[in-house]
Formats: sequence, C-alpha cells, structure tokens
Amino acid sequence: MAGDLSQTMSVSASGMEAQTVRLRVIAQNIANQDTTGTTPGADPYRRKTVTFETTLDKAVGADTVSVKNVGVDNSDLPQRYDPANPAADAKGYVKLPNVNTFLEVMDMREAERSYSANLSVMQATRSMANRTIEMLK
Amino acid sequence: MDPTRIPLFDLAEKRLTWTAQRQGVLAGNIANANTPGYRAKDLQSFASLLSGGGAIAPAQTQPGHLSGTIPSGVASVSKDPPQALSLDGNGVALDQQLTKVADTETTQSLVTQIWKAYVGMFNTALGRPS
Repeated sequence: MAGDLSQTMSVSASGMEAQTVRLRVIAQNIANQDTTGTTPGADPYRRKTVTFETTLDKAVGADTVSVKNVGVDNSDLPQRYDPANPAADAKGYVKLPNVNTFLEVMDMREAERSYSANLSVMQATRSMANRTIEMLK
Repeated sequence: MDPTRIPLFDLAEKRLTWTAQRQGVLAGNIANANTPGYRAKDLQSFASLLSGGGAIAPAQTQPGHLSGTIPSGVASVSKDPPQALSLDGNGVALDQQLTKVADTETTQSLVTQIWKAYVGMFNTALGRPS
C-alpha cells in the first residue's frame, strides 16, 4: 500500500519534470527574442514549442507524463527595414524571430501553475504516507 | 491477533487502500493537466466498491468459462465527463482535481485517526499504557 503512495509521488515527479522542460524552452524563447541571423537574408531564431504526451509507466502502472517533442513554430517571421543590420537582405529587410513575449509570459504562468499543482499533490501524498507510518506508533 | 478479523479494521484497511489508489489516479490527472487530448479519470466511489458494484470481472461467453481470480477489492477507474475542454482537447480542471486530492487526504487522515483510537482501546483493555 505504501507502494501505491510512492508510485503516486513518481507520477507527480514526472509532471514536475515535464513542466521544468517547458519552462526551460520558454526561457530560451524569451532570451532569443532579438536573435537575428548573421549573414544577409539568413533566418533568425524560431520560437520553440513543447508537446506533452501520456505514457503508461509499466513499473508504476499509472499515467505519467513526458515531453513528446520540442518542435519549432513555423509561423511567419516579422520583418523590419534595417539596411545597416548584417542580416539585412538585398532590399534592406531583416527577418526577426517569431517570439511573442506576451504569449511566452502567459505560457510561463501556466507552467508555473501546473508545477505547483503537482507539488501540492506531492505534499498531500507525503503527509498521507507519514500518517500511514504513524499508525504503527 | 489477526486485525482483519475485526470488521472495523477490515473496513479501515479497504478504505486506506482505496485512498492510496485514488491519490494515484488524481496525481496522474494533475501531471497530465497540459497533455493534449487527455481526459480526467477517477476511481469508483468507496460506497459502490463496498456494495460490490463496478468490480472488474472477466466476461463469460461460454458456460464452461471460469469466473477468474481477480480479488474483489480492486476498484475500477472511469473517465470523468469533462466539464470544459480546452483547445487541445484536454479535460482536466486543476481546481476540481486539487479539491479531490484534499478530500482524499482528509478521508485518509480520518481513517488513520479512527484506527489509532481503536488500537488505544485495545491497549487499555490489555492494561498497557497507550
């Protein structure tokens, strides 16, 4: 029975791990929001996206979560007229990263909220395990 | 002394197993709160488990089939009807799930308290300091 509770802990841990990866990708996106190319007409940094998937952990026997893949956002790149930039093409336009700061901050809030929800479950599970042990006293 | 011979201890044990199982199901829901297409699950209620409803049993399509040896104390897991789906088809409402977690935790606390009170009564009857 205590096995059930420790399995529950590893399910919550998998959730926290997945949200951490998501937060890291968000940090990358925000850090690279002004990263343009270095040669004329080169593509700038493209926003990265994270997808989660449910995996049935055979050892645990429960629905853990893992990162399915880290993809690339293929939406259109905004352009700016800046002939002095090393990445400017023949017409003087520079391609900018398709990172939307507001979107990233919203995503960050959601990741934070999911992370703390997993943490609450972990705390609840831990106190349940403690109470089970205290039954011996 | 076999504690499972006493009905209250037997009941308490079943309920504790149920709370541990339910906590596992709810943790899975919360871990998958951002997984596309995931629907929240829940364990069948303890009352319906006690009355023997919803227990898992192998299908018997021929009269010669055996009924199987699955223990009767296993609760079945069902999908919750989603309240609202997000754009990616996820049906987990975090607040709802956390309420259920708190509820399960309270139940478990209650059961362990009752258990301890009963053990204390046995200790008193046996003349040991509790």
